[in-house]
Amino acid sequence: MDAARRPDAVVIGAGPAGLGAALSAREAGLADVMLIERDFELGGILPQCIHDGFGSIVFDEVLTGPQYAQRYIDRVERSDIDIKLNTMVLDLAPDHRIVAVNSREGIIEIEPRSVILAMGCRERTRHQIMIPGYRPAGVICAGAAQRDINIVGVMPGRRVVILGSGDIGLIMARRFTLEGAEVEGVYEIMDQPGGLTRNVVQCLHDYDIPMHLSHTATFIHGRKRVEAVSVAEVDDDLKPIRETERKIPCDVLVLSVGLIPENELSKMAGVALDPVTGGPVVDERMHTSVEGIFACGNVVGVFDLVDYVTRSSEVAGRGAAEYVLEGARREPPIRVVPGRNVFFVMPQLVRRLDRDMDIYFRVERRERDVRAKVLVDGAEAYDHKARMVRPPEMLHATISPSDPAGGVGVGAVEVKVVPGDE
Amino acid sequence: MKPGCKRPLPPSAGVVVVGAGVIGCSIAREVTRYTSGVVILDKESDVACGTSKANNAEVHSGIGEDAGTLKQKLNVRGNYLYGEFVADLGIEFKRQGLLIVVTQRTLPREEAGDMSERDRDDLLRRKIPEGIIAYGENAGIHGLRVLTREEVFRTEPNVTREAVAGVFDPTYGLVSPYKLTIALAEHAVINGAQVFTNTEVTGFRVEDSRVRAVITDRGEIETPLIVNAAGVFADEVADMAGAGGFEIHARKGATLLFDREVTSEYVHSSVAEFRLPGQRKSQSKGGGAMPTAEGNLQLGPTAVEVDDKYDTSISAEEIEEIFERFYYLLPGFPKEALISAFSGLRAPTREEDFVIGASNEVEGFVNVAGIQSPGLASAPAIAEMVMGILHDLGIPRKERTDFDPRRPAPPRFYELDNRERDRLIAEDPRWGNIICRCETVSEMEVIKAIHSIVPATNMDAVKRRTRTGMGRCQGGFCGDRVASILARELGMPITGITKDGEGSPVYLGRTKGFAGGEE
Amino acid sequence: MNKHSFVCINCPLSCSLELSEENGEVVEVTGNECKIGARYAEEEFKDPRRMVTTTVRAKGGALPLLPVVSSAPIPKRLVREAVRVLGDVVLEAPVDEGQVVYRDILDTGVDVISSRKLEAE
Repeated sequence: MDAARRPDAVVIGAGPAGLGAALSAREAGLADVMLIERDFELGGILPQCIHDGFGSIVFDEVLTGPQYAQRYIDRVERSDIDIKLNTMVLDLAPDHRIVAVNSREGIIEIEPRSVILAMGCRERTRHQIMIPGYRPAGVICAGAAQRDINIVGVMPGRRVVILGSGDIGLIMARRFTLEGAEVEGVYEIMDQPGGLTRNVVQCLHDYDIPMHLSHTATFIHGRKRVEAVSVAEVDDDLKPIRETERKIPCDVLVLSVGLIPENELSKMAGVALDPVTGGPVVDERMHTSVEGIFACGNVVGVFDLVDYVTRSSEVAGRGAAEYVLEGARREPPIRVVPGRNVFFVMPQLVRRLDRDMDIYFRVERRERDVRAKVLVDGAEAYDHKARMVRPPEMLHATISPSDPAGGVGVGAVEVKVVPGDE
Repeated sequence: MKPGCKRPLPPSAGVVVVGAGVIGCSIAREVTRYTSGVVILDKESDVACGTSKANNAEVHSGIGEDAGTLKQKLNVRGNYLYGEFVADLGIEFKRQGLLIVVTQRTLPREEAGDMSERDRDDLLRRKIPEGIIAYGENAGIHGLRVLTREEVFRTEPNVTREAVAGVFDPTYGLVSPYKLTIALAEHAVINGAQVFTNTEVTGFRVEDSRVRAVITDRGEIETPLIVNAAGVFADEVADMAGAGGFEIHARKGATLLFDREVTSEYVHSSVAEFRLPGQRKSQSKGGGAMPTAEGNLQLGPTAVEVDDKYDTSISAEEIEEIFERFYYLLPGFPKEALISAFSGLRAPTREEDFVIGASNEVEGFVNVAGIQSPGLASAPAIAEMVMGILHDLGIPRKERTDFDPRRPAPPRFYELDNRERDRLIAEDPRWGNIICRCETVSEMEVIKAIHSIVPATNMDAVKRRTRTGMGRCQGGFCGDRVASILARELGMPITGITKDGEGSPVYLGRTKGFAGGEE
Repeated sequence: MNKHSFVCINCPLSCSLELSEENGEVVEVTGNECKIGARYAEEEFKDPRRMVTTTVRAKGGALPLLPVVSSAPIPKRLVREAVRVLGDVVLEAPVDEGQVVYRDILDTGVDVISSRKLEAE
C-alpha cells in the first residue's frame, strides 16, 4: 500500500460509458484522469457483441460492437489517461475514497476529487423470475452465452430454448444457429416481442426460428444437465395456463429476461437510487446525490443503444470536469416529471439548463400516432411526432437553453406522450 | 479417468464409512483420534453432495424436538459440544440465537373456541412462552428467555407486528453445513483418513454374519467395520449387507435465498414461528426466516414427501407456499433481493427418529440412519455415540498421540483486512486477481480449492469452498473464468469441466473455429 | 400471381407487408404505411442482403477468437455458407482492425475484415 493517489477523476468501468466519460473529462480540462477496469482489456461488453448495429447516431455508420469500442479504445490509448486493467474496486466511500486491488500493485488507495460510476449492468437470472425445477448445468443468461461463444469459443448447448425476446436473446438465437446449434424457439411472456423488429426479422425469421408470444417456462427438467424445459401459455395476469403446458426437449435454456444496473458500489457510497430506473438519481450533469460522484450509461438505467450510453458518458465526463474546476451547482434541483404515458425518465433532476440537455424516457404502454413533448416551465421545449411508441424502445429528447422556452433558471420540466392531434 | 478418482482404492481399511455427508465425515474424523485406518466413500463427485449441501445451516438447541426421543437427546448434547467440535477446523460457528415468536396466528381467534379474549391473550403472552421455557429446562436446554412484545421488537425491529410475545434461545447457532463437512473430511485426511468420491458402494462381502469387505464400482476394500451414513440411501445400503429393516423416505425441503447485502439491514437472529402441536404441518419442524452462516436470508423450508430420492426440484407451488408461510415473519423485506432457490432431501425413517446402532444380523455393520433435522446440530453427539459403538466393536480406546488437532483453513480474501491482502498479493500476485466480483473471490482461492486436501474438481465444488458464483449474478460473470482455471489446473480441456460431476458438462463442445482441434 | 410476406424493420410500426409478383415482376405491395415500407418489401423480395458477422480462430492472441465482419452486405442466402467457410480460417495474432481476413467471400466481391485489434499474447 503506497500513499494514496489523488487524481482529478476516477472512472470506474471501461465499457462504452467509462471510455466516453474518461475521454470527455480529460478533454474538458482535467489533467489527471484514471480509468479502472476489472477485465484484461478495455471495451466492457462490446468485444463480445460481434454483430453490427452500433454507432448509427454517434458515427452515422453501422459498426459491430468491437469496431465501436475500438474507436474509443484507440483514443484512450493515445491519451495520457491512467488506465488500470485487471483492477477491481472493492470499496467506494461518500468522500470519494476508493480501495481497489490488482495483482501488480496490490491494494490501491485512491482519493480522487471526483468519481464517475460506469459499471454497467448485469443480467437477471432464473431465480429473479422464479422458474421452478431442477438446478442442472445448462441454464445460462444470454450475455454469458454470448461471451462463451464469441470470446471463449465454447458452446453452452446444442439444442436451445430461449426464454425472453430481448435483443440479446434474439441475437443469440442467430448466433447459436450459425454455430450449428438448433434453436427450438423463443418464448416471450408478453404479447409482443421485447426486442427490435429488425432483430426479430433478421435473427428469427431469416432462420425460421419460431417465436411463441404469451409463453413462459414453467419447469426446468434434468438433474445433472438440462434435458427439457416445460413451457406454457400465460393468461392476462401472466400466470401459466396449466392445460397448455408442454415439454420441449433441449440441452440448454438461455435467458434473456432483463438487465439490472450494477449499483453495489453506488450503494456503498450512499448514492440515492431511483426504484424505477434501478440506477442513481442524476441531474443534467449526471451528478448523483453524493457531491462529486457522477454516473453514466447502463449503471444509471438500461439504455437500448450504445450511442446514447456514449452521449450520457460525455455529459458525465464534462460534468465531473466542471465540478472539479468550478465547484458544485448550488441551485436546488427540480424534478423532471414523468407525465402522460411516461414511466421512466433520466435524468430525474434539473438544476440549471445552460446547455443542451438529453432526456431519455420510456412509455408505459404501446400507443399509435402520438407526440412526445417536453415542457419547460409550461412551454414546449421539445415536440416530436411518432407513428408508434413501445415500452421496449427508449425515447430521447434534446432540450436547448437557446430555445425560447429554455433558460438558465428552470421552474418545472415535464415529459409526456400525448395523442398526435393534441 | 474421472477427476477425483485417480487414486486406486486401498486393499483394506480398519473402518469404512459409506457416505461423505456431515454425519459420515463427523464420524470419520472422530475415528481418526484413535486410528488412522479410515476410508470414506461417496458416489458423488464431492463430499457434502446430498442432504448436507442443501441444508439450512441451523444448529438447533433441541427445543423443537419431542421429549424422550433419541433425536432430542443427541440434539441437546450435540449443541452443547458444538464449540469444541468445530474448534480448530477453521470455520465459522456463531451462536446468534433464535427468536421464537408467538403471534396471533399461533392460536387464531376463530380456533380459540369459547375461550375468552382475556384467556387467549394470557395464553399467548404468558402461558405459551413460559411453557416453552419449562419444556426446554426439562430437556436440559438452558438460557431460554421470555420476551415481551416490546422486547421482541427490540431484538428484531423488522419482525411481524403480529408478534405478541417471544422466546429467545441463545444456544441456537449457525454453521455452513458444506463447509463444516469439507473441514471435517479434510481434518480426517490430515490424520490419515482417505476420501474417495465418485465411488459407489454396490454391495458387501459378509461371511459368517460378519462384515469382510465393501464392494464398490471401483473395486473392493477388505474391512471388519462399516459405518452406514448414506443419508437417503441408508436403507438401500443396509439392505445390501442384510443389515437393514428400516425404510428411508425422502422429504423435500425447499428454501429461498436472498442477497446478503440486504439481509444484514433487516434481521440478525433467526426467526421462527411457534406452532401449537396440532398446527404443525408435518413431522418436520416449522422453518422460518433465518440468515445462513454467511449472512444470506433464507425463507423456508417446506416439507413435501417425494418418491424420487433424487428429486431436488422446486415447484411453483412450493415457492408460493414459502412466501405464504414465512414471508409474514419479516414483512417489508424486499422480495426482489431473491438470488437463489434450492431444495434438499431429509432422510427420515417411518418412525421419524434417528436409527443408530450396530446391526444385530451382521457383525461389524453400524447403521447411522434416519438422520434428518436436527442432524446438523446432533452431529457431534452422533459421532460420540457411534465412536462408543465402534470401541465396543474393537477400535482401541486409547487416543493416538500423533493426532493433529488443527485443520488449517485457506484464507478468504473477502474477510481479510487490506494489510493482510497486500501481504498475500506480494507473496503471490494471483491473490490480487478477483475472479468473482459479487463475492470478492481471488484466483488464488480458486486454485487453492482445486488443490486442497479434499480437492474441488468441478464448478459446484469450487463454489462450496470459495463462494464463486454464489452471489447476486449467480455465476454470470465468473462462470467461464472459474471453468478456465479448473481446466488449466486439472490439465484438461475446458469442455471437460462439469457443474457437479459426471453427466453435468458445463459446455457441449467448442465453437466452429476449433474444428481443427484445441491448439 | 404469387404473394410474399415481410415485416418492415424501418420503424417501430413494424408493418406487415404483402408483396404480389408475377414471374418475378413486382405487381404491388400492400400493408405498408409509407413509401419506405414498399421499397423495403421490394428489396427483400428481389435481392435480400445481410451483413455477415462471426468469429475466426486466432492463434497466439490475447484471445482465441477474432470477431470479423463483411465489408458490405452479401446475399442473404449465402450467409450460412459464408460463416461455415470462415469457420475454417485460422490466423496468427497480432491482427489489426480492418485487416482483410478473407477476400471475395463466395465470389460476392465482398471481403471479410477483422473488426478489432488483437494483440499477440
